[in-house]
Amino acid sequence: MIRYSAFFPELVLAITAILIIGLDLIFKKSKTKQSFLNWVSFSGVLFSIAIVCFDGNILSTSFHQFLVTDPLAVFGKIIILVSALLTLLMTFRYFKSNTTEHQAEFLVIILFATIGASALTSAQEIITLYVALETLTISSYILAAYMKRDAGSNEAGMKYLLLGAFSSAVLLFGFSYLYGATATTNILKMNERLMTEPLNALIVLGIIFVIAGLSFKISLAPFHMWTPDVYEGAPTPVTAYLSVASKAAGFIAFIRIFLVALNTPALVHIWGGLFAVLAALSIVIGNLSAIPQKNIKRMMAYSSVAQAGYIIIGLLVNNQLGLTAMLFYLFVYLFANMGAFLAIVIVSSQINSEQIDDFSGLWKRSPLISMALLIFMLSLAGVPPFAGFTGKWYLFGAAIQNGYLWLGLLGMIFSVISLYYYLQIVRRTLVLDSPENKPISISVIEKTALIICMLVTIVLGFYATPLMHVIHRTVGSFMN
Amino acid sequence: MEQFVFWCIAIFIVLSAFFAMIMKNIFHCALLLAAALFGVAGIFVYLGAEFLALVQVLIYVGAITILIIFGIMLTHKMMDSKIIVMNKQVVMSAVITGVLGTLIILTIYSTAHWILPALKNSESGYLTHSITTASVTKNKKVVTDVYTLGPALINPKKGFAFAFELVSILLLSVLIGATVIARKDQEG
Repeated sequence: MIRYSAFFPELVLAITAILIIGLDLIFKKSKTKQSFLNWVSFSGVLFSIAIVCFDGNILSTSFHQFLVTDPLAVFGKIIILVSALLTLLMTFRYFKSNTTEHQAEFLVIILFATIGASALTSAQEIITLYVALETLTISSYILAAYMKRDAGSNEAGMKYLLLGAFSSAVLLFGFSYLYGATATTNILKMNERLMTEPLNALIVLGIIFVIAGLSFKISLAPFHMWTPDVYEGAPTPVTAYLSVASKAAGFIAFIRIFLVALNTPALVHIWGGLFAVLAALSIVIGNLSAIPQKNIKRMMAYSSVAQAGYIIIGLLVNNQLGLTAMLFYLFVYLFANMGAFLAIVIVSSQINSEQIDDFSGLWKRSPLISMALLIFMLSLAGVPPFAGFTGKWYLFGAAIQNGYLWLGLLGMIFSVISLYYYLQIVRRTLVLDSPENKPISISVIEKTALIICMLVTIVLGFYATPLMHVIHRTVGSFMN
Repeated sequence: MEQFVFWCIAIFIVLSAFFAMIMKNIFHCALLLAAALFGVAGIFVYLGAEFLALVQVLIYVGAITILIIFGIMLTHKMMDSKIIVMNKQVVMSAVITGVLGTLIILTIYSTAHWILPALKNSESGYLTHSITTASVTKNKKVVTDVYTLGPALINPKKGFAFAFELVSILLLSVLIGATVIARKDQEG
């Protein structure tokens, strides 16, 4: 029995993308056409979110168990689609100041990347998972290099392509070892086989390769070298997309592979230890390198390395508590990081600068955006009462309860250190003055999106019960 | 005899790949790369996966190498251009790849004995069945023909159909992206 509704969200995105290509060809070039196409893409993603939310067939599989619609897939899809929605919003603003002839194609490729990310969340088989991941990353290479007249964007695209292709090869090599050891590509069956299989070098080497390949995608140190250059050079909406949607997809892949396929008592010791080292390295390197940065996108790049380090703690403790903390933090990170990037795009497209110094005196030019930046930065740093604090509380608590006391303490210490660079932005926007007084304009929909992101970030800090209820159900269906 | 054939092909691949890496003339590099890819097709034939060998020759040896050579011919003076093949990090990378390579070889040797039984028990995916049985039971009737591979890829009941369709999205995305980036714009 084939259940085609398993890929309806992706199908809607694909149809929207093809519709945009068609409409772009038919109609003459004009401002009205572009804003019409923008709204087509926007409503396509919205429609896709609606399908994900109202699909009743939770916990069903299709395509010979290769695709699964479980609560985890739904959760991942919502995070990815919402971040795609916000990315589209940033795109509309970004292209007002950075012109290109091919804005419609940019929307199309964002939609294609989102199809990959969204399909990845429900893949229960490593070939499907790999193809979905490649659809996401190869589209991201194009997006990173999209501003072809800009040297930074060219450099970003080139670096991302070369290193990304290499990491994909390593990942595939690791998958082939796991396949060689278990003779199956199905994640559930792989787990069954590994339970009975004695531990051997082939499996261990496969795990190391998979960790190396996937860590690149979510930029865990020491596989983060590409992150600052690509994040700085890529068009800002793409940077935002990479730092949230792309990472969320990577984390879902991590959960599927490590918490399902490789979750046997003997193997947990190996990858648990490896992840602890990677998490510690990411937290230390990410936070320390972020401090001296002058460019706001570069700073956010190092910040996202550190954030990936925090989130992976939830994976390595390998229990319900950890997974709960991980999903909660991902959700919080989505709104805080996307909100911060939305504010950055709105401001930097009007002051034509991405230097942190040029954000001085923003409170006079746009009180709302400076307020928003304050809240998002404090949440990312983990200051109570914002949602980031609750998220870190759960993550470090999970680490400490499961024998990773040192990692929990390290995370706390470096969260405090991270306050320094997050507050640098806040200090400039709220305290310093600037000669410029021209107000920053902001459209109604951008205002709405910013306020929603702010509200989520504030409210989840006080009252997270409904979200925790959903996450508990997700985790409960996933791990016993 | 079978061992001998394997080692011949393997040494051929490694040597041509190595020289493709260190040759100073980029045109020679491209030809040696084609030779290495051709050797891989030989390995596929040796394992009884004729279809994969055919695909390997058609796509890698044929299309991709031709593209590379076209690229060289259109951008360089073909025969007299010397390229830089080494940089400061050559020793470091040689050490790292050496260690990694040794690790992989040791791993393969230490586990060669138990792979086969695991493969024989395989009943999971269609592709698993068709490709691996060929390498295990070379003397029996080989099942890696297009008649089994085709349905495995596009029959939705077999599972790989979704990945297959997703690849078409991927290719469309790449096509559009390549056009946008390579195209000469009117303005500026």
